[in-house]
Formats: sequence, C-alpha cells, structure tokens
Amino acid sequence: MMPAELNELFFGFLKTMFVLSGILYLVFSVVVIRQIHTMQKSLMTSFSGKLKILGYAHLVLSISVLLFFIVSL
Amino acid sequence: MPDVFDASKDHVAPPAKKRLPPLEAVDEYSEVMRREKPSRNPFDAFAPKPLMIYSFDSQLDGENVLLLLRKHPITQIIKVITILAMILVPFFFGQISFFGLLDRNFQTAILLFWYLIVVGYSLESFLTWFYNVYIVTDERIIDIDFLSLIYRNVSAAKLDKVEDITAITSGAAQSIFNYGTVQIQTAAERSEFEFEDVPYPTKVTQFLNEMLVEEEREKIEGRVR
Repeated sequence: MMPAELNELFFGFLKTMFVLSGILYLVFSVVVIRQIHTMQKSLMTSFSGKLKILGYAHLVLSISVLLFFIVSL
Repeated sequence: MPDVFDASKDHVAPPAKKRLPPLEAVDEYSEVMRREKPSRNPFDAFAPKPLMIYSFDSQLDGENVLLLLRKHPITQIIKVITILAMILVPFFFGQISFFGLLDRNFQTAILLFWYLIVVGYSLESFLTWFYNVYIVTDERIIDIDFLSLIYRNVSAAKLDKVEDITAITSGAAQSIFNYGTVQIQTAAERSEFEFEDVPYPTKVTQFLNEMLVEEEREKIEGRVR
C-alpha cells in the first residue's frame, strides 16, 4: 500500500470516529433535554424555563459540531 | 331561687383566630422561620419560605413548601476545579507531537469536541446539584435524588412519622462553612433520611423540631389533615 493511500485510510478512519463520537454526543444531549423535562416535573422553579433554553442551546451546539465533522473533515 | 354559679355560663368561646397564609403562619410557631426572610433566589442552598418554588412532584393539595435545601455550594468546588482544568487542557495540546501532524480541520475538530464535552459535563454537574433537593413542607419531608442523568429517586415521610433528628458537622471545611448532615429517623417505609451537606444543619434541626411540636399540637387540637 502506498503511503498516500495509508494516509487517506487513516484520516478516513479518524473522520468516521469523529462522526460516531458526534452522534453519540447528540444522543447524550437529547437525554439531557429529556432529563431536564423530568427534573422540571419534580421541581418547578422560577429558573426552570431558562434551564430548558440552556438544554436546547446545548442540543443545537452538538448538532453544529456534528455537522462540522461531516462537512469539514 | 336564682343560680349563684352556673358552670355552663362560665364557658366563654375563644375568639376566632384569623387564618394566616401558610408562609406567614409558620412564623407563628417557628422561631427559626421568624428570623428568616423569604427566599427569592432559585440558587439558594438554604431557602426558607421559598417564593421561587412553584410546585414539586407529588405535592398534595394545600401542601406548602416551608424550607428547601440543597448541598452547600462549597461541596461543588472539586467539580468547578475539574471544569477549569478541562478548559485549560487544550493549551497543552501543542505539546503533543501527534497533534501537530494533523491538518487544521482535525485540530479544530478536536478542540470543538473537547469544549463540547466540557459544556456537557458542566451542564450535567449543575443539573445534578440544582435538582438534588430536600424539601420540608407543612406536612412532610421529601428527598429528591438524581444520582445521574437517568436515575431518579423520590422519598417522602409524613412529619408525624419522624422519630429522631440529628445534626452532624465534622471536619474543618464543614465547621468553617457551616454545613453538615441532618439525619432523620422515621417510622415510615424508609427508616432514615439524610440531608447531606446542607447549610446550617443546627437551624434545620431546630426547625424540624419546631415542626414536630406543631404537628403534635395539631393532633391534640384535632387540626390534622
């Protein structure tokens, strides 16, 4: 195998790993949103609305990072 | 012959007491609450007469939250230091020779993913601290536990089931920052409740004792719900 091919294979593998990690992280951020909903049901405070926004901001961030992995790598 | 003494006439009905709103009524029988102002800050670890709590799971009709507790913020210091250290880690990525071999997009991807993990860890730590609460209402004590993002445990015991209350403060940090554990023995299904690392454990114990006395008084006067 030529060094250039090896290089391509290695970076291809690396990209796959990044995309898989991004997908796993996306699942985690969805779990966080679900959990915020459950926690809010357990205790409704004046800060609950802002926490929901924080959870969704986190989800948007993880989608953006996943898109970056797919498009730029 | 006129009655010299008639016991039935001697009985004078006590004047009807004006019913106070619950958060004011607690001041009537609790010395601790009388000294405390209602809490409006949703991040308070010791929140007497909290005004920022709208409701909680399994809240009964007419049940009012009188005290909300969570772990003293100083107990979160290790997590804060960990997060700060994690923020600084990428400054040392340049020291790793492998990192320099990667092209710019991969370097950016590593940095982005690292900071995403830091954000996730911070959010998860905050949520766990914020929602792990101990609630004292005018009827019950409630312990809401979220040990992780997917584990929830809610326990409650009626105040009349409480048998023994102990405040434990041990170690230098707990003495300096005035926090500790309040152990509550009950005759309920769960025999022991622990309010871990809560601020002002002595005040909490005193308040719970006042609540027990009031509960006894309600029983004697037949005001039990």
